[in-house]
Amino acid sequence: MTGTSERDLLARKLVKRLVGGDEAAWEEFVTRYRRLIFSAIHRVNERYGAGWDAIQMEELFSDSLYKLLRHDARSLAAWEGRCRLETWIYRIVRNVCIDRLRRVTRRGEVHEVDEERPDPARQESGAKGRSELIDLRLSLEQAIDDVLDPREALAVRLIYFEGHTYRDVADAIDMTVGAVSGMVYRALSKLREVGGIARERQEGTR
Amino acid sequence: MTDHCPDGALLLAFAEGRATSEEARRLEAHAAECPRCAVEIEALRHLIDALRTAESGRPAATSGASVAPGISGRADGSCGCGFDAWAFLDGSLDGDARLAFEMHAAGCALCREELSDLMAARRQDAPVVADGAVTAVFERLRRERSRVVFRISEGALQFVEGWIESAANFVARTGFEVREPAFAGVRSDEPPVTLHWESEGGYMFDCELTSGPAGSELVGRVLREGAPATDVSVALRGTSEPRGPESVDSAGRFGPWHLAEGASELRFEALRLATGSLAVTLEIGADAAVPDENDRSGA
Repeated sequence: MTGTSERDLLARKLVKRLVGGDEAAWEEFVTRYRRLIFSAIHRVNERYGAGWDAIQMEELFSDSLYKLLRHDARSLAAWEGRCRLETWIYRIVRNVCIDRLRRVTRRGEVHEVDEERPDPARQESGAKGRSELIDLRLSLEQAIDDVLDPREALAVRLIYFEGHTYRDVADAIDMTVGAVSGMVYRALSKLREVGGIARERQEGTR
Repeated sequence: MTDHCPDGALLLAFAEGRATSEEARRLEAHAAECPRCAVEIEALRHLIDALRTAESGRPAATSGASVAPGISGRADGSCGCGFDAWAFLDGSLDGDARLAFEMHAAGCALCREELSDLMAARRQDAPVVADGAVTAVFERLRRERSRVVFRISEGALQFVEGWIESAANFVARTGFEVREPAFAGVRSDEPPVTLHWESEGGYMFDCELTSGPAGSELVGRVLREGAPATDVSVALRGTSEPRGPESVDSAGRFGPWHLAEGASELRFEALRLATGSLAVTLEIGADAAVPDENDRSGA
């Protein structure tokens, strides 16, 4: 396994080559980071209901890669090593995506995008409005903040609000899947105790 | 529940459909005999359903005047906390730093978003873009390597003001008179901004500032009649405020581009992104290097 300092050194060397105008380094950069770049675009699309299709996401990939590498990788040259290069790249790509979202918002293409956004609750009951969903989200967020410890809160949000698997979360917070499962069970028990959320939900859907 | 009841983690796995078929069979049989576990499983299912339903209650990015809360943050894309989600994920943080990050991310939507997205990027099944998109970017980069570039994305008004000032500079420096200044299509905040003017010396100047997906771009040309036997240079001097990781600090000169003796047209273009504001001065003169004020005073 490559150590942290060695990874940092490799990243610095690669950036130096890019900044120095070495075209061969472009390929290496893409090999290492194309998955990160494209994945970040997908995540923004999903999270904010942008409604981008495959072609638009490829365009965003092109815009992002271009932004990262153009002018002898000036945006990477600004990386000072205070965070991992991966984090730096992710933030740049995310900014490209957010800029695109904001342009869409300014142009008033809002409602079309929102209408296309999948709404599980609507599919389920046909009765829950968006404001009720937001209220439910806010009440759960508040309960999570109030009664769970930070690690429990993080795990619950990553699993239920971000769609990660127990394996993903276990890897991220360095626990076993079984331990995460036990922790989440305890967290859900706490949430049930404070809010009667499950009971309300149960009554609301009958 | 009794000592014989399954533990909470297994009940949760069953409620979420993650239990193995063997576990599920045993749990179903147990729940049929144990009302407390049956109630527990049902309650878990309702809570999980509420949580998953609430996921779609995130304020939409495209609704309202501002984009979703998670989109806010500093210009460099971080919340300013100094934590690094990738370092957390690759295991390079020590125990205290890991704990500090977890505590912070539990309450910081932006860092949690960053963590979540980077977790997704590390998965083996993360989406992969087609090679064609990469090739096209490489070709574009190669085409543009020789371009002189600079950045602007905001401050079109300041840009135009700078431009108007540059016309006065032009007159003062060259002795040419601006015969027919025409500032067509100028709007304070909505590019493209176009500018066209002509001088007594037979020079015509055009430029356009546009703002597209890749940022703002300035394209201009200088034409002169009769291809006189003098050299002319065009240069831009810009100052801008850096903003974001893609930004650079710049207070510099771009060009000069030379209109050679006998030539009648000079085209130039410049591109720059994500600066807070920009003021540009354009100079046209017989001086090949487009000198500073001090240089000229000595001439």
